[in-house]
Amino acid sequence: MSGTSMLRRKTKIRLAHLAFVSLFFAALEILVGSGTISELILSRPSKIGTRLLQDLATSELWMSLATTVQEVLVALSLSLLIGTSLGYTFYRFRTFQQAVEPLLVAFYSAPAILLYPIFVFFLGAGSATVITMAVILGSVPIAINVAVGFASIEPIWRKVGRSLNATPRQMLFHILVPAATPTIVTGFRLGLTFALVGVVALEFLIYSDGLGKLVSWRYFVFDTDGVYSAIVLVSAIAIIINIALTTFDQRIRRRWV
Amino acid sequence: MFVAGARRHRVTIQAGVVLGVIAFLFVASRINSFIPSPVAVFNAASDLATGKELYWNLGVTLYEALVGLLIGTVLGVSLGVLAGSSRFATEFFNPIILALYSVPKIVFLPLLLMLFGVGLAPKIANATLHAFFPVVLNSLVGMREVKLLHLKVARSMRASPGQTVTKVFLPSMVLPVFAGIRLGLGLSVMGALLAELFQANAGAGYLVHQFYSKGLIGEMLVVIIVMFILILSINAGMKNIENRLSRWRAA
Amino acid sequence: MRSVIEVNAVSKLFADSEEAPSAHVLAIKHAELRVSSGEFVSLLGPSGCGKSTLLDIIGGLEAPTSGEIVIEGQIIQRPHPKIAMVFQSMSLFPWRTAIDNVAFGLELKGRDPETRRKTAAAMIELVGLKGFEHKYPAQLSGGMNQRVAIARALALDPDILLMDEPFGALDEQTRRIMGLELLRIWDRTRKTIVFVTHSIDEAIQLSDRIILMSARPSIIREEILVPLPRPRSIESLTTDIANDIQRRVWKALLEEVDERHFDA
Repeated sequence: MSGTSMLRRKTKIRLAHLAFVSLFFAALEILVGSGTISELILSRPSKIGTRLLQDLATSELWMSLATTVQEVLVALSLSLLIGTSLGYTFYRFRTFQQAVEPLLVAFYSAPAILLYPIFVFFLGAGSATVITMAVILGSVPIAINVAVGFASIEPIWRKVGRSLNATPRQMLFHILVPAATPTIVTGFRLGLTFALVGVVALEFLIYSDGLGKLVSWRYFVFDTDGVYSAIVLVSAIAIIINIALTTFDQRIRRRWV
Repeated sequence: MFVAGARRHRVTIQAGVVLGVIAFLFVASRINSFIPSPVAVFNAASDLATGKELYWNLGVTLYEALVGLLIGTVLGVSLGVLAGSSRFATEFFNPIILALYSVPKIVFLPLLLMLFGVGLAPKIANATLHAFFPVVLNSLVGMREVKLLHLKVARSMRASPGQTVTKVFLPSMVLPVFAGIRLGLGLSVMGALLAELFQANAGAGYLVHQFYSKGLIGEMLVVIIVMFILILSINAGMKNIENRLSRWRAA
Repeated sequence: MRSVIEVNAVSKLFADSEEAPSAHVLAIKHAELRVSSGEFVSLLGPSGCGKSTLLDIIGGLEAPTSGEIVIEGQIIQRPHPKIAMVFQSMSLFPWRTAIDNVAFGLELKGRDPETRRKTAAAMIELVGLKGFEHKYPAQLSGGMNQRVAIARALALDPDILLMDEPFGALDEQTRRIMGLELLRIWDRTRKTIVFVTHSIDEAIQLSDRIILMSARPSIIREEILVPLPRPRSIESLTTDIANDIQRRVWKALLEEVDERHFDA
């Protein structure tokens, strides 16, 4: 009984989503086609679609994609490494966390990005700068997430560890890490999102090869169709990755809780 | 006693961080003359402090960020309340919002520039775009977490829909929404800066670009430092307000 | 004596709700009940039977699938103004102080601030919490919170009090004390009380009459009078009458278990 009604609701939602997306693009098509929205501002979805297909046939797009993927993987690994270590340090040393966290949050949320010209000077307007900035921007939210994750582990489990006189090392590997697996999985998903955002943002700003550059460069040369094609592409990639990881995240959580 | 000690430790660590940064700057400036020494930065700071350039541009960025935050809050709370109002609404809107959240929002800048032209509008729009998400997500969660039991109490006492909204929903949601706004603040500044870095003729981002292109790295660092202190203070202030608002939580 | 509450052939069928997606649960089957003015009546039954649902129906929060509720001669379709409800724990608004919680109903009615303050203060004193007016629920114990909840219900001077396992989340000792406190307050105010519980002792200790309800689909198995003299005390539970009633209740419960085994 409950299975079918849940299934019915899920299908209803999926249909609603489908209808929403279809209506959205249909509306845009009509608005731009009729001239209500100028074609200088927004290209017609049909044109964007065509251009997207054309792009997919070019090597330019795939090479940009490859560059971005490489940069994201490197940035992800580094920011996970740094973020997790920092997060664990936060968890272990509360005072340190209370002292440093507000500083890091204030820093990463705004002024950090303003430092990128300096990195451009030293590392060039290429992948090195992109990755470095993405790591700087991504490590902080990961650290916070990890700290929260460790702290939110059932106190009773930690009590068990303490009552058995577990060393910090044992606590970490035998209790904290297994118990925090759902948080770790979420942290990975967040890390990937931040890495992607950071990488694309930097590519965009410094015109460094990659998907981000596709967008900003095409804007620079007034290739409107191309700009939107690239935007749709980046968005689609980000959304697909997010959906895939969220599904994975939910599956893991279900087995853990 | 214990609390005072912890506070002293915190401040010590923070002072240590600041000193560390200064020391790093000192060493780095010795290694490469591109990086200014702490003294040079200090001089740049006193220069800028006496002029109008710094304040004016910082003001522009803050203005963009705050207006963006305001609009983002209005839109975010509205959609959040709508999305949280029923289970179907949540299951419909939540995935859409989360999916868009994961997209690198910078790619929408060209769209905003084409839509809003040049000037402050696209920066405000970008700030709005960035601030919107934490607010809408927190508002949605806030709505969902209004306790059914509280609604039952109101119903059993024959509260009108308006009374239920003002006396149950609103107070319930103040904290999560405020937390969302606090998160949104940092992001709205980031949004404003990103837009300025791409295309602007005013604002902190613009100023940074100008200084960099003229080789005035000291001045550039001053802008960054001042921006940092500003955001730190505003964040601390908002945290303070948040603590006051949640006095009833666990006293 | 005239009935202030009439439960006439009330049945409740839950069909595919959010809480029970496994649809079609017959919670209550054809309940009939009369409560007289000033009576203290307990609805006693196992967890998950329809007693809370029946209370919600009497309180106007749920509509019966069939049958009707008559309060003071009126068929009700929404919460009746002369009825107030007390729920299990955590029903207070945590962002309001104790006195502001108590004044909530008065606010809804649009009373002026001075009246609200006076009435709420009086209620707080009635439930024995004088001095705690400006504390937040998080600063008060479970027992104190429930006292505030009772004060809140009494603030509008209802004729009837519906209480849904109000002491269920408290520890044993506090429960006993709160029960006697409730009797003290009831003695002073002489409201009609319908009290839901799954504790046999509590039902015997407090009520004039126990309505024994079965598990779902809930029917009213038996009505047991509790002729223990008032004022009740801790000793009341040790009397022969009390033991007798306990035996009767247990017998009924065990019979039900047998019946269910036969059906299963």
